[in-house]
Amino acid sequence: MFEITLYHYLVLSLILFAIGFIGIIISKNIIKVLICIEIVMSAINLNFIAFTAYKNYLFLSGMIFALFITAISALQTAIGLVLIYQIYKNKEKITSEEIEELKG
Amino acid sequence: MEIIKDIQSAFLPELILIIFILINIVFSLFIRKNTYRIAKITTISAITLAGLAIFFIQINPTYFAFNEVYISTIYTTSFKIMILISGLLVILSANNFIREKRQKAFEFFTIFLAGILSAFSLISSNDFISAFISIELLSVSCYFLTSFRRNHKAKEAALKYLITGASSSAILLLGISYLYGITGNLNFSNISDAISVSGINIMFIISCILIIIALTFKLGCIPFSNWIIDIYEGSTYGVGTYLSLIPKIAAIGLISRLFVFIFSYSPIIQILTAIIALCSIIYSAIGGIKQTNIKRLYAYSSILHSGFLLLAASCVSVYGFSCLIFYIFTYIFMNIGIWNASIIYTTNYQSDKIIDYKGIFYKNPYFSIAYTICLLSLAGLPPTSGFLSKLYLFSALSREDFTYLIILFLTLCATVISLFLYFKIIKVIYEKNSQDTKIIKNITIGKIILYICSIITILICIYPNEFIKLSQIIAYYI
Amino acid sequence: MDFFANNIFLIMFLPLWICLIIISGAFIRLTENRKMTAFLTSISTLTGLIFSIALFNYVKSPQPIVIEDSFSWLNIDNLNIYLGVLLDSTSAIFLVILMLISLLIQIYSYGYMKNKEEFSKYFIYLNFFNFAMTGLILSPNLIQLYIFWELVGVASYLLIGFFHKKEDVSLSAKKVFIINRFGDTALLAGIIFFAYFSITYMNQQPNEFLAFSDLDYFHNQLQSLTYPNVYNLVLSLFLIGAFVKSAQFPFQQWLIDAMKAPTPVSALIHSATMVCAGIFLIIRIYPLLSDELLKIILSLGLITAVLCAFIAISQNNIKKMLAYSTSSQLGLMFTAIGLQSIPVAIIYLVIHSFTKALLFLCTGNISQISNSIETKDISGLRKIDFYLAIYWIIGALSLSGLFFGGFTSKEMLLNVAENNKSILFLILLTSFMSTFYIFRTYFNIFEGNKREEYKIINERTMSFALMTMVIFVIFPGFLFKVSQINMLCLLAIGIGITAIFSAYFSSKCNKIMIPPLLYKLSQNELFIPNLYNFIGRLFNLIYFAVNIIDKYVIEGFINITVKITKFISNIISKLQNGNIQTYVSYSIFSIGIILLIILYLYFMALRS
Repeated sequence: MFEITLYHYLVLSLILFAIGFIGIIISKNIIKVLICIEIVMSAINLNFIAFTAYKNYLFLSGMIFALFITAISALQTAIGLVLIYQIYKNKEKITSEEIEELKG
Repeated sequence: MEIIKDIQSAFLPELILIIFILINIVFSLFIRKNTYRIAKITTISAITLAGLAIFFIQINPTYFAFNEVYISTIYTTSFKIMILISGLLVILSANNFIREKRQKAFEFFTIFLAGILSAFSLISSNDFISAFISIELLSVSCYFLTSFRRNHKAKEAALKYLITGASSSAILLLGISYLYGITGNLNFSNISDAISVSGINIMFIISCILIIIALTFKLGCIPFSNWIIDIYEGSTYGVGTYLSLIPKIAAIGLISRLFVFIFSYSPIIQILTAIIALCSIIYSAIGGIKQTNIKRLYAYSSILHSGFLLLAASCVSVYGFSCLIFYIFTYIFMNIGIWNASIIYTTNYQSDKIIDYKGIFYKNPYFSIAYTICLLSLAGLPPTSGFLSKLYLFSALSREDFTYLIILFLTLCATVISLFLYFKIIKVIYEKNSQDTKIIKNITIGKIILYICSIITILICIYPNEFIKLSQIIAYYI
Repeated sequence: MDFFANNIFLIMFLPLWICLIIISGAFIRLTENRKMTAFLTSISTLTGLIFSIALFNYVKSPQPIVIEDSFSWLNIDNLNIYLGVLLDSTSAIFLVILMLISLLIQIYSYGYMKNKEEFSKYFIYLNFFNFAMTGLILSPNLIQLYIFWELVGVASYLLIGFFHKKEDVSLSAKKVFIINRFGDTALLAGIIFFAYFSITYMNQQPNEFLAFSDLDYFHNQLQSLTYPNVYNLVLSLFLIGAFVKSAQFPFQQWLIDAMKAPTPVSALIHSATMVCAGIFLIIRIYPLLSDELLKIILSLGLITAVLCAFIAISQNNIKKMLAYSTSSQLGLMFTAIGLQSIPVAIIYLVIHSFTKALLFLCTGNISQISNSIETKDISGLRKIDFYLAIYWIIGALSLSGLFFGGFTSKEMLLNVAENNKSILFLILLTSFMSTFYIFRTYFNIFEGNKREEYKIINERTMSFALMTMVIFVIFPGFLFKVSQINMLCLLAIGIGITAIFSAYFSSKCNKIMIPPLLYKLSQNELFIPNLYNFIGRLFNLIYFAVNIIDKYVIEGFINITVKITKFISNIISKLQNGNIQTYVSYSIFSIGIILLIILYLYFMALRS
C-alpha cells in the first residue's frame, strides 16, 4: 500500500518510548519498572537503527551505538535485579510503596 | 602501532587505573586478612600513579586518540587532576567507608577506582558513544557504592538511584538519537561542523534540550534532584563525599565541552540552562530549611552548588569557564571539609541529626572553628574562598546580556536564603549547653585533613590571583 | 638593609600572629601567665620598632626613597586590587611613632592592669590594634586603607568597651563606634565616587586600583575632565571621614565618650595614634586637594582648635580636658596642612603624640593614687609624688609650646602662618588657652594640701614607661633647629608666661578670670551635647512615624517573606515523598512543559 518511510519508525519508537515511560511511572511492581526501562531502551535502539537504515550516512555509528545500548541496558537490568533481590530478602513483596522509607 | 601511540599520549592515567582495578580484583581472590588496609593502599597508590602519569601525556597541542573518540587537552587534564585530588582526599578522610563488610573491601575499592576511571573517560570523550558508556559506567559504580551497607535504607537508595538513572539515560539517548538523525555523526567535532553547515532547526533544539536535561541529572539539578536527597541519606558518609564530588565534576566537564561544541549554536539552550540552574538554586535554598538530618542538609547544599556550577557553565565564554574551574577547585576543599567533619563526628557518636552537634565548640574548639570556616565558605562569606568564587561567578554573569541580570538578581536572593542552611549548623555548634557536650578523640588523619581544607580555604582568599590566572589559562584551551 | 626592606610585612603580621597565639593560648589555658603575654606583645612591638627605625633611616637618606611591595590580590574585570606595603618618609615617621608609643604603653599597661582581671584579653586587643594601625599606615592604595580604617575602628570599640560590665562604658563604646561609622561611610562613599570617576573618565587606567603612587596622575587627568564642583564635593567626603576620625568640630563628641576606656588605652589610641589616622589620610590624598578644600581644612581646623581649647578651660575632669585638648591640637595640625606645609604638620604630630601620651600616663598614675579623675577631689600630689609633678610640668610646658619639644613645633607653626594676621591671632589665642588649662590643672591637683589617704605607687614598669616618655618629650626639641628667634616667637613665649601666671592666680583664688557667662558656656561644652540631644528629641517625632513603618511595613514584609519561605519549604518537603515513581514523573512533567514552551515559541516564530 503505502511505503514505510523513516517517519513511521520514528513515530513507532516515540510511542514505545511513551509506553515505557508511562509504565515506569505507573507500575506498582518494581520488576515491571525494570521491564519498562528495557522497553524504553529498545525504543531508542529502534530510533538509531531507523536513522542508519534510511539515510545514507558516511559512518554506521548508529548501529554500533545500538549494540552498545543493548549491552549496557542489560548491565543496568542486572544490577537492578541484584538490588531488588537484596531488598526482597528483608521484605516480602516489592512494590513501589514498600521502598518509601527515605523521605522528607 | 597507532593504538600504542594513542595510549602513550592520551590514555596513560586511565591505563594505570585499569591495571590497578585488575590488581584489586586479583587481590580479592587471594588475600584474606588485612583486606581493608591493603585495599586502601592500592587505591591510594593507583591515584598517585595516575596523577604522575598525567604529566606524561600530551596535552598541548590537543591530541585526538582512538580515531578521534578520545581527547586530551589542558582543559580535560585539569579536570582530571581535580578529580584525582578529590578522590585522594575522599579516601584519606573516610576511614570507615564500610563498617561492616571488611572482607569485601577489595570489591569496594575496585568500584571506587572504576568510578574514577569512568569520570576520566567522560571528561575526555569526544564522541557520544564513549560519553554514554562512561556515563553508564559512572552510574553503575555509584549504584554499587551507594548500596554498600547492610542497612536496608542503602539498598532502597541505590534502587531509587538506578531507576532515576535509567530514565535519565533514556532521555539522554533520545536526544542523542535525534541529533544523530540530523547530522549523521556522533563525534562532537563532526556534529559541530555539520550543524554549522546546515543551520539549526527545531529538531536540533529539541534534541539539545533533551541532552542537557538528562545531563543535569548527574549534576543534581532540577528536575532530577529528588533522588540526590534520598541517596545521601542512605549511603555512608564516605560514599556521600564521593558522590557529591566525582560525578559532579565529570558531568560539568562534559556539559561545558558540549556547550562549546554543540550548544553554542542557539542561545535558547543557554538561557534554558541558566533557568534550570536558577530553579535548582532556589529550590534547594528553600527546601533545605526544614531539614533536621545532616546528610539531607548536605544533599541540599550539594544541589545548590550544582546549580551554581551549571550557571557558570551556561555563560559560554572563556570568562565563564574560568569561573567554573575556579569554583570547582574551591568547592572541592570546602566540601571535603564539611563531610570530613561529619565523618569525624560520626565515628565517635553515631548520629545523623543536626541537634546532636550541639555545643561541640566548648570541648573541641579547633575542630569547630575549622568546621565553621568550611561552612562559611560554602555560604559564601568573606574572608573565605567561597566568597571569592561566588564574586567571580557573579561578575561573569553580569557580563552577559539582560536576562542574565534578572537571573543574577534572583540568584543573589537565593544565596541569602541559603545562608540559613549553613547557619543552622553553625548556630547549633556554638550553643552553650552545660551537659551533653561531646569530646572528639582519636582521629588524627581526618582532623589533619579538615584543618588543611579550612586553611586552604582561607589561603585561597588571601592570595587568589594565581589561581584565577591559572583557571583563565586553562579555560582558554577548551 | 635589604632584609628590612624585603620584610616590611613582618611589622604588620607579627602583632597579628602574637594575637592569635594569645587567643589560642586562651583555649588551652596557657596564658594564665601574664608575664609571658606582656612579654610576647612587647617583643613584637620591639621588633617592629627596630624595623621601623632602620627603615626610617633608609628612606630619609639623601633623597627620599619609596619602597613599594604589593601583590595583586584580586583581578576581576576592571577591578585590580593590590594589597601590600608602601613605605615612604611619611609612613616611616608614623610607623616609628606608633611603634615607640605602643611599646611604652604596653610596658605601662603591664603595671596598670596587673591587678585587674581579663588581662590576656586586653593584650589580645592591643595586638590587634597594632596590626590594624600598622596596616593602615603601610597601605599602598585606598582600598587597603579603608579595610584597615575599619579594623582600627573595631579595635578602638573593643578597647573602649573593655570594662564592659559597667553600663555606661558599653553605651559609650557603642556611641563611639556609631559616630565613627558615620565617618567611615562618608569615606567609603568618597572612595566609590572617586573610583567611578577614575574608571569612567580617564583615558588609561593605571594598573593598580586607586594607588597612592598614582594620585598625581589622577589629579592631572581628572581636574580637566569633570566639573570642579563635583570633584570637590567628592573629595569633601574624604574630608568628612578624616574629620570624624580625628574628632574635629562638629564631630568631636565621640572623643569625650571614648575617655571611658582604661587610661593606657586613651594614651595609645585617643591621643597618639588612631586620631592621627585622619591626618594621615589627608596627607595621603594631598595631591588631589584643590585650594578651596585646603581653605576648608584650614578654617575647620582653626575653629576646632579655638572652640575645643575654650571648652577645655573649665573642665574639671582631667581626662575630658585632655580629650578636648587633643581635639584642639589636632585642629592646629589641620591648620598646618591647610597652610600647605606638611612637614610642619608631621613634626607637630610627632611631638604632640609624645606629649599627650605622657600626660595621659601621668593621669593614669594620678587615678591610681587618688582613685578619681576629678580635679576637685585631688590636691597636694606634689608632696606625695614629686617626680609625677615634674613629669606633668614637662608635659605641660611642651603642650603649651613654651619649652622642650612643643616649643619647636609651635615655632614652626607660627612661622608658616606668618603672613596671615587673623590665623596668627587664633593660633596664639589657642596656645594661650592651652597653657591656661593645662597649668590650671597642675595647680589644682599638685599644689594644695595633701590628703591623707594617698600613697605613692611603686610599680616599676609604670615608672619606667613614664621616664622614657619624658625623655622622648624632651629630646626631639633639640633635634630640630629653630630658624630664627623673631618677634613672633617672643610674643608667643610672652603669652605663655602670662597664661601660666593667670592659671596660678585662678587656682589660688579659686575662680576663673573670665566673665561667668563665658565660663558657663565653656563648662557645658558650648552646649553642644545638649544641642545634639535636642536634635535627637526632635527626631523622636520622626522616629515615631519611622517606628510604625519599621514595625508594620518593613517587618511585616520580612515576616511575610519568612512565612512564604516556610510554606514553600513545607511544600518541597512534602514533594519528597520517597516514592521513586513520583520523582520520575516530576522530571517527565517538567520536560514536557519545557518542550511545549519551545514548540510554542517555535510556532510563534514561524507564524511571524
